[in-house]
Amino acid sequence: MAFRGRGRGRGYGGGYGRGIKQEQFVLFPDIELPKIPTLTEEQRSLGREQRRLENFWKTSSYFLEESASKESIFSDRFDKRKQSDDIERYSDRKRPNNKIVRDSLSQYLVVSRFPQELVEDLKGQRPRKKKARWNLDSELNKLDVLEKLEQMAEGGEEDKKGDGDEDENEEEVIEAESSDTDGEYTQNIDFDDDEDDFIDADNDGGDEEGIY
Amino acid sequence: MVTQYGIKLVVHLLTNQFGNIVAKVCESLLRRGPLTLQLIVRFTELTPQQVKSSLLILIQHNCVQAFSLEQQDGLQDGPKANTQYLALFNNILHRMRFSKFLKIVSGEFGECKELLKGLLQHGRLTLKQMVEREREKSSKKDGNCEDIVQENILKLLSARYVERCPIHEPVLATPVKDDTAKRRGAKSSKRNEESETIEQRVLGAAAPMDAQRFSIITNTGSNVSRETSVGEKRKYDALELDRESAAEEEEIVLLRANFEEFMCRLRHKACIENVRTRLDDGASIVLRAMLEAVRSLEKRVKTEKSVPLSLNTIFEEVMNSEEGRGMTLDRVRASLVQLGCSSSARGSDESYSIDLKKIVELAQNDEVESIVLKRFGRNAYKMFRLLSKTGCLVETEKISDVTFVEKKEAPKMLFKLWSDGYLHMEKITVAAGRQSQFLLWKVNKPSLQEHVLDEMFHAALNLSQRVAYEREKDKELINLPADKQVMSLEKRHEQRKNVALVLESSLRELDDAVMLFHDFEEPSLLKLDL
Repeated sequence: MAFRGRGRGRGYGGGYGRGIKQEQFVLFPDIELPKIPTLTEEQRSLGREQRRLENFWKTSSYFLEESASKESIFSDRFDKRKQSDDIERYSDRKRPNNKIVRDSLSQYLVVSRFPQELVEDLKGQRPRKKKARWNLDSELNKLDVLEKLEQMAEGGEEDKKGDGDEDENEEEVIEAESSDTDGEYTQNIDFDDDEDDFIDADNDGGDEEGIY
Repeated sequence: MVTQYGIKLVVHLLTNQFGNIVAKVCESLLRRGPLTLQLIVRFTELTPQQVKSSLLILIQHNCVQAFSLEQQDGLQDGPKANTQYLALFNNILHRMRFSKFLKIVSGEFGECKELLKGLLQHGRLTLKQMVEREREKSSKKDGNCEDIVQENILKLLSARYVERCPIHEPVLATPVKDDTAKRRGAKSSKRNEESETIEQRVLGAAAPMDAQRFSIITNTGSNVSRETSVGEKRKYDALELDRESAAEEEEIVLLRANFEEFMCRLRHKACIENVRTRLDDGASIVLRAMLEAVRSLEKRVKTEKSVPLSLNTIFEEVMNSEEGRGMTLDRVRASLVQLGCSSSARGSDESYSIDLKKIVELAQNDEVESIVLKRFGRNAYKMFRLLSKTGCLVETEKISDVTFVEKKEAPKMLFKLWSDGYLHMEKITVAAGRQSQFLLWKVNKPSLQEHVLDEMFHAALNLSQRVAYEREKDKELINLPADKQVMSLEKRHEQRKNVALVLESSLRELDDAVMLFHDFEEPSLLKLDL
């Protein structure tokens, strides 16, 4: 039984990783490149044109950026300042402003020449941020919800009267509809997960009913 | 022929140009074939709004074509149409070549370059948008600017460099045999054929007829169009539109660059260059003259043989060119023989046509042979060339005898070529007396072409990634504080710039080889005579 164990002592495998040093991965290590050939003016002009086009696309509204900025695949360190570009700091006064201001995508698109499902948001004036959902617990609750909605609608109209002038100048923003309207779940109308047995069959499509 | 590295390359191109959200949507379409909006959302795991915006951008830039498949099992009141989105691999790949397209136009019509640039930048524009863009760029009077733009657009339309956009959502009747059904798992040639078929069907249904395709409705209401020859095949079925949609069509005319015409020009240029290096200047001058003469009649990128031309017509065309003025009729005839033109007597006049497919094939062979020579050495090159010329199965000993390669070295070399995908091998076991095994080798052209093309896509991907890296490093260099700079900023910036320029130049040259195997070889899917 004396031979059991991991052999942590000297000479029993204790120095397994001693000689191995962790090296930093270099994406493109510097290597001896062959002598750079001289480029003709034609080749240079072709390169310039392609670069101009690519720079245009990168700064145009066609370039879709992810909402949360992520670390560049080429950068060695992650700059935490990038995470919160919208927060002004005193130290930012000296930093150059490299933020790209992009045009609206709808400026260039001819809406009538795209499939209906892609441009339905662009066609309406301004889509609602939230789509009212029905509470299907009971008929009384339904009526309560309707009353609340009516009150909210009245309040909204009063607000609109005051802010009408400002709203006209605002740029149209494409906003995502609530996730329950999209996806493949809407296709499966007859889907039954055997949980909501107490809900009537008539109310299954309650989400899709009109807003009164 | 869409290979794995081909997809990776176009995804990288789109990531560079439109960001990774758009690239992710397109990659999903390229890998899975046509998909509905809901399925794209499911596969990409992006928000519906991100997917919608991505599709809008991709359609705007002619990288995706929407279409509807009529389904009979839909609603009670008739068939329902289900919108699907198809990624156009070739159109995305052409985005590497935009600078080449601009060069072609600036050489032919210098003043039209800016208009084409606008179309390449924005994918598709209306006449009104083009006028506004031009007005913003130059401080010209309103009316004058509009006239200039219209005149230049007509020039580009008559040269077929610009075309009217296809129907935004053609409806395809569901065939009896389901074309869209894709087998999961290993890629088979059958699946590739199916996807090509659906691409052809979609693009065929979306393409307007020629008279409409290269015409523009001006603000006066008159229809200014390019003269079309009597023999042009018209698509009458495309004209069966509702009155409403026809009226809408007249209101907005969306134009885009016609990639197919540019590819035709690049194919001609490649053939001329190949003939110049393989034969001589005289043959290349005659070939250029012939291609110029038949340019308006050529319908597709892959035209196997040019339209027959009489010797007098060819000679006149040669005389019209600057370089060919010193050539005599006998010299032209000799060049035609040199080019291997097939001649046919039409009454008293003899006419010639060029086999362009043969020229492309010879150029492809040269390219593959040069790769083999550089990668495997002279002995392997000799053996490969023998097998390429023979075109049938040859035994190992015979190969070593003919090429004068040592008997021991030959099998090693052949195995190396086979393992790298350049040769096809077959084992034959003969049981006469004692059992012996023979190895037979041959060059399998279709699989070799696919393999070489995939390697080229791989190399292009590596190059474009390196270019992106160099550009990123350049930005980091500019933002580096002065105290941390070892070399002078100008010197290092110039060094990086030169490296990037050479890499970009190499990428463009590699793209010429890609075109040779991918675009000049495959039948064009962009323009179909259905």
